[in-house]
Amino acid sequence: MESLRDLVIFVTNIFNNIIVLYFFLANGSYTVLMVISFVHVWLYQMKVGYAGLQEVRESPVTPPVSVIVPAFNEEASIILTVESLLGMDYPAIEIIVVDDGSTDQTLTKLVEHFQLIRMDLICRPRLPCTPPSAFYHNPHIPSLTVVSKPNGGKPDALNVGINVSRSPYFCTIDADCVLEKDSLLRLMYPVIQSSTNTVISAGIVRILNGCVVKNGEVTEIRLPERAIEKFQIVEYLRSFLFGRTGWNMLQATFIASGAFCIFHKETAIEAGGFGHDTVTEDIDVVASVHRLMRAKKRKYRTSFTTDPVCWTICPHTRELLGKQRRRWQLGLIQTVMKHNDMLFNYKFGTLGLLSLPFQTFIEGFGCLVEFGGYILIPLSFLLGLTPLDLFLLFVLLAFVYGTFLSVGGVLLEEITFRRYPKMMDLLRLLAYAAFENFGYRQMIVLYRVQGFVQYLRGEKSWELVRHTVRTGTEGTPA
Amino acid sequence: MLIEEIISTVVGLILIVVVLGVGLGFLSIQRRVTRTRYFRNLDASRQQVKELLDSIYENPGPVKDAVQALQVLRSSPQRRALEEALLRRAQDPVHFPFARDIIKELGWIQKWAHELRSRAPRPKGRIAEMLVELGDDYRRPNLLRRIVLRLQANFVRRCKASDKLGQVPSPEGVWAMLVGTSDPHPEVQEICLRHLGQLADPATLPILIEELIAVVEGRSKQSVRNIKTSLVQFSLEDIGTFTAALQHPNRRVRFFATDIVREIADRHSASATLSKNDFSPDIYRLFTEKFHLDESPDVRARAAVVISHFHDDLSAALLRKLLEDEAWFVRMHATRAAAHKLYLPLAAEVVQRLTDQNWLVREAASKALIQMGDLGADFILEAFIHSQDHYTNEQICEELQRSGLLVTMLDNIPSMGASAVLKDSALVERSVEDERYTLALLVVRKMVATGKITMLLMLLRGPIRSDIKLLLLRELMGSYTPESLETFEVCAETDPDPNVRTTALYAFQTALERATAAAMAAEGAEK
Repeated sequence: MESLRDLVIFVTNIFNNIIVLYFFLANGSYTVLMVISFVHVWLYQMKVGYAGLQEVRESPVTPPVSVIVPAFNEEASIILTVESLLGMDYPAIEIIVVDDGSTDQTLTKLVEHFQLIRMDLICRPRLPCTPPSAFYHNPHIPSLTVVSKPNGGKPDALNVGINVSRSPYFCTIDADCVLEKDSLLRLMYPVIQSSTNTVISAGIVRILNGCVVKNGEVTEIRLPERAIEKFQIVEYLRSFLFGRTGWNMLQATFIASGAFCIFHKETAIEAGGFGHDTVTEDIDVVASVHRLMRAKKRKYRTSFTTDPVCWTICPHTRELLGKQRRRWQLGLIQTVMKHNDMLFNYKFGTLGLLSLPFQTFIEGFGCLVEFGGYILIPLSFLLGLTPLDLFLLFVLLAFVYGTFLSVGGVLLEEITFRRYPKMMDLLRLLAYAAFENFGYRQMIVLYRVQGFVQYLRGEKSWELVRHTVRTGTEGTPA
Repeated sequence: MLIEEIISTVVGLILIVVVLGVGLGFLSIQRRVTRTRYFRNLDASRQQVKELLDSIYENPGPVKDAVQALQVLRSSPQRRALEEALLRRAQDPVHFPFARDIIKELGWIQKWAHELRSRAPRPKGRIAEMLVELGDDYRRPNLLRRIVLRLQANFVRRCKASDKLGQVPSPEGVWAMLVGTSDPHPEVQEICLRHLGQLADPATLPILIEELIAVVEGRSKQSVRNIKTSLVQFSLEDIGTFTAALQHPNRRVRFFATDIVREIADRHSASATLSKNDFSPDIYRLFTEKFHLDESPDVRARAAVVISHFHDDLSAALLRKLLEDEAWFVRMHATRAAAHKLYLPLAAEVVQRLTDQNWLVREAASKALIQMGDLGADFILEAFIHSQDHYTNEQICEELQRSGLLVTMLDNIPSMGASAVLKDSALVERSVEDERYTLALLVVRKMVATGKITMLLMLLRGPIRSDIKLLLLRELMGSYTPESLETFEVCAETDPDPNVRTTALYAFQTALERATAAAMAAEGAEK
């Protein structure tokens, strides 16, 4: 009995050390990223005034872009999304909607709304994919093509879109997203400006819930009603404004949201396109592109820009959020394990030495440490290893640091974009940033641990997250 | 470490983090309050400035008086509003001269020029020569001011200065921007180059071309697209300046120079058809004597498009040659270059490209023929009817559907009695009467033969003329795919025209018989 207690004490001690190490590493990394992002975003905001978007818009040199929209059972949002794409302010755009064997009215709605005619068009596959079963086109809307295919999953639909696309760059968009009018132009801007081949250009994804959408455009930005949605807004601000900005500054982008990202087509094809072996094909393709470019010793860069905005619907119930986060975690672990040879590999530069270890140990396995902490810290107190005051203080420190980082995200938003116009919205965001660490964070950790367990079980398929666009009529909040 | 020490460290950390967190929160609120106030003031200032400027523009007097009247605007939002308003008015050709004079009188042009030139190295080489030629009489500020400028004018400020100078064209601005092209910061250089391109002053073109060469040779940090965007804004009259770049030993320089000339020519041709007289004799000679033979296929490809703008016999002959070039993308560009009614004489050669090995050339050829107008379309339809090549048929078929030519062609069929369509003799009669009918019929027949019937079936279900539906039904009668059967059934049940319903029913029964026979034959073969 005594030896069992000793063993528990020994394990608890080791784990306590791991938790302390994790705490300092994770929060240290986030703090560094936040500082870098403050500088970058501040500078970017100042530069926007003379960016010359008008010149890019009018230049014959601006390259065309194919926008690929994979859609599976998206009847509620697909028309809104395509209309927002058709209204984009970009000189040469090709929109390819790939209906991935929807069982609802997605295809019918598209055909009826845009008066599409089924045609026999040619598909010359360069990436392996399920062959398309039908093409739909309207000669009066030459930029829009709808491809129908048997269900094969999102990566397969994206690969079909790449095969059909004709432009040197393609942009992936989720079918439940609404893009701002000039977002594609802003996303392509760093590609055009750079003297180095920019193979990936990602933009920021913001939460549409609560906003007012009219004719495929977000006309009024509001906070959603439910607390779970507001917490996600704070989370997105933190993740996009200082997470991805910071990694981009270090040229170590490992995650680019497939909901809104531009790829250099030839590079993506050479990297093998979107793979089927992970449930987060967007993260996987970014890693594959890095691998290819480093292996071929080609000069390249990736870009993340904070003002081209893609509005997306976030889960509004705990059940949906759980499904989403489990999938993200499962995909992240699958991807880092697939590309684990890049880990601490100096050949991959900051990606291999900083970003991938961060994604693996902090974002990937970190949830286990945090989850373990929630169990072991009280246990170590019960075992008498940690005095009550130290135990409580340590928990408090973890929470206040989390709050500090979230408030940092809100401040970053406030000094730059100020998307939420009402003072009350700002105060609410600050409040939610403070309360995020008391309940919501623990719930997310739990979902992530479940995602990890799914990985250990060898699950390959992902739980479908069916978002409900709560737009009864145009002009009402989503 | 003692437990007490750990506790005090943790408490310290908590306090620091709490103070920082609360500080960031307050900073957010403070920022919101001050920005709201600032923008409220700015809006009020904008209104005030608008009223002031409106009255000045309504009764324009001496510039000095206008500036005197504007002296009441002193606060930061007022100055910002005034700057915005004047820069906006400078974009309007009517208001530009007065706006520029006011801006100059306010001393802003000089201020921006000082800022832009504050960190740039002393001009040398070509830029120095050009500044002398342009009469640059810039006087550097005194030492103290120079030191202040050096400290204040960071690259963002210099970029902004350059941007503003570009929006209010003036000799002082052009001189400063020329100096700015050698600024230590690439972003400042980029803005200067961009605005020099927008102003398109022929005097500055050599500097931009020099920059292009530097970019291609890897001596400049600028992006090729940026410098190209600047260069393509110049006029057709200025392309003589490109001669040196066009003859540069580096093939990439030649390629970019040719491509820029192509863009300039394309832009001009959008408003009026060009001829060889729009180009200088040197350029004409260079393209007709050298470039179609250039060792670089990229140059030959881009040259094909420029040559196509000459619109003379020689250019047609050269295009004919380039249509058969060994490199596929030269053939593709030459085909695209011939996509004009004036190149209808080349239609036969373009038709040849419909059987090209490369699908991009085939696609370009089908598009080019359609762009050649009705006669070009006839060429592509004839080619489709007679072609035995699977890939050619596939390509033309796609173009007929995508471009809407198929629908247009069917719409243009002369209206005829429903009964006549079903008679074989009608074909002969109509072919004499109207070739369009025959052509459409043969195209439909070929589409059926190649199995590309999806769109025809869709048209049958749509609101098109009954006589066209009858024609389609007659041609599709042999098809017994599930889609055909379904379409015939829908037509037989729902079409408003009784003739169409009857014919569709007949087509359905025939197709069903054939489908059954085929299924039984397949079953028999299996057994």
